[in-house]
Amino acid sequence: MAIIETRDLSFRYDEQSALALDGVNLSIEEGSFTAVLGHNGSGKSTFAKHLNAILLPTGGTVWVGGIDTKEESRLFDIRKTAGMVFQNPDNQIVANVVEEDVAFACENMGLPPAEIRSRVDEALSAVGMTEFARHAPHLLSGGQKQRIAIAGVLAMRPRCIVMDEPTAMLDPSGREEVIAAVRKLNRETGMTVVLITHHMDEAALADRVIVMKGGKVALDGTPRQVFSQVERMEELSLTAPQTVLLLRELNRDGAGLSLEALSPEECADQILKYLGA
Amino acid sequence: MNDMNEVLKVEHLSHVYSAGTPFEKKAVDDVSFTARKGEFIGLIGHTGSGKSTLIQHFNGLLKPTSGRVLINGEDIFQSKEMTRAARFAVGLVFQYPEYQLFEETVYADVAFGPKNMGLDKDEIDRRVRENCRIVGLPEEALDKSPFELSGGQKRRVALAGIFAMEPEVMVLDEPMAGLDPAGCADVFRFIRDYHEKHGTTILFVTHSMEYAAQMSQRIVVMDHGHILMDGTPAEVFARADELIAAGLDVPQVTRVFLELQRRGLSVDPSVYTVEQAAAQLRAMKGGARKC
Repeated sequence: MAIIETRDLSFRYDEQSALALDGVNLSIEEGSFTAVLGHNGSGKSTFAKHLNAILLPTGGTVWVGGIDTKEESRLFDIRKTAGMVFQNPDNQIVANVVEEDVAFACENMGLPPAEIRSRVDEALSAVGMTEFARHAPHLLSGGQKQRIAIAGVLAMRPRCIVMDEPTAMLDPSGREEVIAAVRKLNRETGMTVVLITHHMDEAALADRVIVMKGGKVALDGTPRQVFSQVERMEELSLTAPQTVLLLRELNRDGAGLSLEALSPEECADQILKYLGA
Repeated sequence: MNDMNEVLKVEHLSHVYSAGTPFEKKAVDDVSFTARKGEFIGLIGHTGSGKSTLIQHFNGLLKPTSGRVLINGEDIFQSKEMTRAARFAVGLVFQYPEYQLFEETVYADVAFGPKNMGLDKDEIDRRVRENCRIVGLPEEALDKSPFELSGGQKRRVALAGIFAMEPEVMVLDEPMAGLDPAGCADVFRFIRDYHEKHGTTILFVTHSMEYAAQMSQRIVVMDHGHILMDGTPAEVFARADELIAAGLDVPQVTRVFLELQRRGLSVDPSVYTVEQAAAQLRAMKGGARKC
């Protein structure tokens, strides 16, 4: 079943500007892990902001958990269904103690204290931050702060988590921490994940990759299907992973290798074939 | 000792944060390092490796707990005047420099540094226009408010502002952070163009081994407050296993070659570009055919 559905979604920031989204028709299955790729200005962040009614369509419709995001009276239900994590970890933390920060949304929801306690503990454990519950957020690393922001969203128990470039400001180990936490959530709890990113290696971990360009969906498929289309990716100002590029280079000699190799292991398999070993 | 080419020299530098408290931390531990005139050096290390602490000593923002920082052979902490001179000699570009824009127009923002250096109007004007051109800002943009610009353009303004000071040593902390691949390629090009034009010594701080290898003749790897490696890209990548252990992002082709090595192939894993990898594999295939 689709948890997010858009029909002819279009959006412009003001009347003079060009369409930031231009006729997007997408359906995102509950429990799936979808990555949305695109260069700056492709519309990917604008798309993400439509998934919990931060932005409302100027044309077409978005349904989140079956609710039309234009229904103002249902705003709270929409935000409870799809929680959002942003790029900058420092802009999302409001409290002086980690567990209070994670509890913030639950308090706003007016939940009883015992319920909040159990949700906060569960959320912190889900992102592997239990031992930091009583720490001060500003002394944590970027990756840790981002996991706290994710925990804050999880505590609301949304069905879907939308992340707008959550790793753009993190270093490689911070990125790994965050992506590992997100994958685990998706695999173990079936949480729907929509990950906006420009890191190919992160997108490669998703079930489905959507590439946007000029406010439209340019490519849509499994990571293997999408990344093996090297020329098309280059037209969209994105580069395919080096594994794919290397095999394509070898194919210029007529090696006939499969380009659907995203991990070093898969690439090594193809290279052994090339070497005839 | 007084080699004229040694623009920046660090001798046995250590830095301890919050000394004497429970949070005491030795961020930089007995580091010695020399940058020569015109060198393009990639400085790599994961978060917490001490690289940001180290670079803040280069223009006197931080004072070493022990050790010395020399610019052209002079200790920058020997007098207030020397410390001030170090601020102009070493340009430091922080992460997300666009957050530091504050003037009313792009022109005024780029002119701010040169003005503080006491340069005359014509010289300031030349530097502003020349460096805005290097970063690809059109003439029309000069009269705009920097806050009307897109994130990528703001980054260009911030870079032009440091370029315009024409420092002897330029330290760029993650200048590509948060940009998309096309934006990264642009910034990459501006820095290279500037380096070619001015022959400035550049220290380029990054998490990405790939960028470091593409841009630099020399790579310095930091880990736990120490310098772990210092050499050419080929020398550093030859120790790819150690780089991964130090929490660094090694190019995918390097990982592929490590995997091939694990499977018993005698490959040289110090490759970091697709071209190098393909050339090596072609040579192997050619060699195999001859047997």
